[in-house]
Amino acid sequence: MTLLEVQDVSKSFAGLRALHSVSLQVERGSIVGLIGPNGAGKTTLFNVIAGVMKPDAGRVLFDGTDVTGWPPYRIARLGIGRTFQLMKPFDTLSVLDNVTVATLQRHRSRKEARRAATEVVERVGLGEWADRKASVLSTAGYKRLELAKALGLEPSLLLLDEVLAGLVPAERARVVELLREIRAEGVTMLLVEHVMSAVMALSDHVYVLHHGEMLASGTPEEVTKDPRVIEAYLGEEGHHAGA
Amino acid sequence: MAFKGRKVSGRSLALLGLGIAALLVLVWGGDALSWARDNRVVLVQALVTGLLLGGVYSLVSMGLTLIFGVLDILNFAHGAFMALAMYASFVLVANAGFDPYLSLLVSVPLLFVLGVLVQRVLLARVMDQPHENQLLLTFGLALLIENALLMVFTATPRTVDFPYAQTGIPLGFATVRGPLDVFGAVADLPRVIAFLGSLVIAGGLFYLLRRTSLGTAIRAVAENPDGAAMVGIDVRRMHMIAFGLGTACVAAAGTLVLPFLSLQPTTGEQFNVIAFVVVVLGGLGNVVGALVGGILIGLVQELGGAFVPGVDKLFFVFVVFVLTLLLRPQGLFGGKP
Amino acid sequence: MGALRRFDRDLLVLAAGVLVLIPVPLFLSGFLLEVAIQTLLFGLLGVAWNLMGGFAGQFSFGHAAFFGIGAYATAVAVTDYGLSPWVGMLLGAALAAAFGVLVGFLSFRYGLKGVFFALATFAFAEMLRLISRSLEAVNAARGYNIPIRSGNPWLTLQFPQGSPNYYYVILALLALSLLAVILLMRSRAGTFILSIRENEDAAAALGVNPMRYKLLAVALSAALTAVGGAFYVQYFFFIDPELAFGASVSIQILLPAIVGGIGTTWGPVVGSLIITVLGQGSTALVRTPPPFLEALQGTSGLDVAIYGALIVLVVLFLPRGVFGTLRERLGAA
Repeated sequence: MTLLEVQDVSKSFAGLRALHSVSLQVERGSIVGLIGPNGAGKTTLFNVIAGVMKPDAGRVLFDGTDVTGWPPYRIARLGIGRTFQLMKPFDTLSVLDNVTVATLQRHRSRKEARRAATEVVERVGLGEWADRKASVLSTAGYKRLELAKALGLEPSLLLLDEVLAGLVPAERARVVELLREIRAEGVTMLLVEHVMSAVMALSDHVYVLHHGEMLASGTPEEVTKDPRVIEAYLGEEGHHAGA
Repeated sequence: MAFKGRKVSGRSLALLGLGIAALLVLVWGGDALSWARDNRVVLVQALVTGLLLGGVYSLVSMGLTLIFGVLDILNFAHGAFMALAMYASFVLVANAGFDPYLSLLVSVPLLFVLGVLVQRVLLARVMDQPHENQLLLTFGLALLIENALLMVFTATPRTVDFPYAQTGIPLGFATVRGPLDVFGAVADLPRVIAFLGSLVIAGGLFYLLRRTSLGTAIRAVAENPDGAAMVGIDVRRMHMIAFGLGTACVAAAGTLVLPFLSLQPTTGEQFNVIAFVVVVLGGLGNVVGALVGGILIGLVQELGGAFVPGVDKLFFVFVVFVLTLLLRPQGLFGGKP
Repeated sequence: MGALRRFDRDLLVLAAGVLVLIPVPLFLSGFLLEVAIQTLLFGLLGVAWNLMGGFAGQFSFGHAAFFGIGAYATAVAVTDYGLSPWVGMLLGAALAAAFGVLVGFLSFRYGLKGVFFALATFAFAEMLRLISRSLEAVNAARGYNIPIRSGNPWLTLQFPQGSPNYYYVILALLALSLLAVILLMRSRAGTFILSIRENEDAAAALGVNPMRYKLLAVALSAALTAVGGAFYVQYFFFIDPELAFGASVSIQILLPAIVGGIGTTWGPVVGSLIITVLGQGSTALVRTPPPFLEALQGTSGLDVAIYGALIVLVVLFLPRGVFGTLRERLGAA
């Protein structure tokens, strides 16, 4: 059953076409990967889905509801959580408070919200920093915090924007494990990633975006063997198709 | 600092403006025309006064916008520096019998040096702080300067006589005597001199920025500080010079208006506020924008006062300000975000 | 301690503080009592400003707009309509809140942030000043003299000069304002307000409606500021456009929070104390300067010059304000 559907979305900025008639579907309970060379439009697509930008054309449907052009906060309340590529923590608040902002959407009582937030914080492995200011975290810690905040929303769909970037392999493995656990709990995920190994390992289905257009889609195996995909990646200077 | 510019594109704004103007003409054209004919003198006077004053606003604002363009600092002490320069000139005129225009030779370099020092000692430290803090700092500086002036000179309004009132200005072939008649409107000689002086100095600033290597270096730092550093430009030095130039501009403007305005420690405040409006209207960091914007605001102020006599002229300036902020925050000519 | 749990502790501090401050009129009278009253008044205004500028992160350079609305509403209600100043106060608070929401909505809708927003608030305050100066309906530039009223002094809010009751009133108003702010900030809404300040996009991505909570902070901040304006009118018996909407009023309102600690509960109160002490000190200095500072005798402007220097020093060296820096140094996370 389709949880998220993007229909023919187009978006231009000052004459530059960022997205052209892009479509994709995300089945409930699946993990879908979105890959493509730098500048392909992946984050723009995310922004359109998450309500940060209005598309010039096309629709976004979540669980049957047309959410095109909805403001981000309404989309979040529907149960779509997202992480940001350029991380946006609440710096002067504690790690726990950061996540509490999210859990307060689901729990009216402050105590309840704190309790739920504590669980999430433990889960992503930030337990010992719970009461410290978010600004003391390392990059890896920030990434986990991003994830924790999105999780605090108890989302049915998670949009993950390069959640593995900048992590060393050991940290990456932990996050991949975590994502698997989250999927097992029934959360659907759409992830943008450059770390190919992770995308291939996790995804049930992969979409490839190139120059704002959907180039290919299929299982990870199909996509990595697709000559157009290989050419798109090799054609871009300084990018590798395997991590 | 961020703004979502382009809520209204320049073109649609122009079209909107044209549409409104056309509508106004259609509805009130006849009445307006006869009113205008009856009040021709008032209108022309407003145009002339507004233009002359606008020139001074342009000079003040060019200094402010230069400072912002290069340093990303909104200098709320701009008006206070102006007052400081005016008092410096006043002292020279009152105590040493200087010709007020000659005192430019002192007030401008003096304020240039002061500006350099302020940048070096105070502002350089807060360059990476959020803009509100910088505004706050220059604001505190403004309070300090203005009240120091108050303590020294008291609030008694001071005036400086225009030295050529009786004799006129000898120009070799003729002597120009004020006031001048411009299409039936009165143009006081000191105001005309202030206007012309402002344009000359503005021209000098343009020449400096466009045609000299120093100016190129300054513009480079404004556009791309890291890039400028990489090609060997001493960015810190450029910061100091730019700030100094900004205060020098406002010092010149101050000295130029001294012969026809009365001087109090708070005299700079009005120019300060107006300069901010002009700079936003013209586009932050855009020197041409400041020039055009200054004239526009001068006209808005005087024409507004002519059309609606009961209200303080400043009100119309603020209306323009708010409209600019809401509709086109990047200014008419586009400025730095 | 997490920022959010801190507000719980603040309630206790508030209770203790009020208890300590209640008996003050027993020890102070005359001039010193006046100084205490003014300290509390600017504490109130600082707390109000801090809600919007500190907690919500919407720096305002034009809070005089709200102050003036409260002052004028009270002046008009009392003088022109013979109503009780409490009615004027409530009316002023409501009007100020409405104005704040209007200005806030326009500004936020059009994406005004940071310095642009601050300048816009300044412009709006100035516009109110210019309008009130020309509007005959509110006595134009002449302003209002509050007439002496007979009747229950607690209803007319008029006490004999030097009466400690003024102190109790302003203390109560300050305490209630602090209570309102603390309760707000420790509630769900308060957490959302803080999150918006830290990062509006991230907050929105977590389901927080930025417009709604920013406007909430603005409305309450405006209302509390107006309350201060209403008290001012009743205490000083006079208001005019300059005293109500002038730029110096906006400065005095934001000063306590900046000096004391922006974004902290007690910063504005501490700041108000510091500023009042410095102000009074400089006034005394100007009146009877020591021999080596003779030149200061009789000058005006020293107090504001000191405020200016204070702002400069705070921004350069103590960006968290006096209280804020102390709090950090003493280890509370």
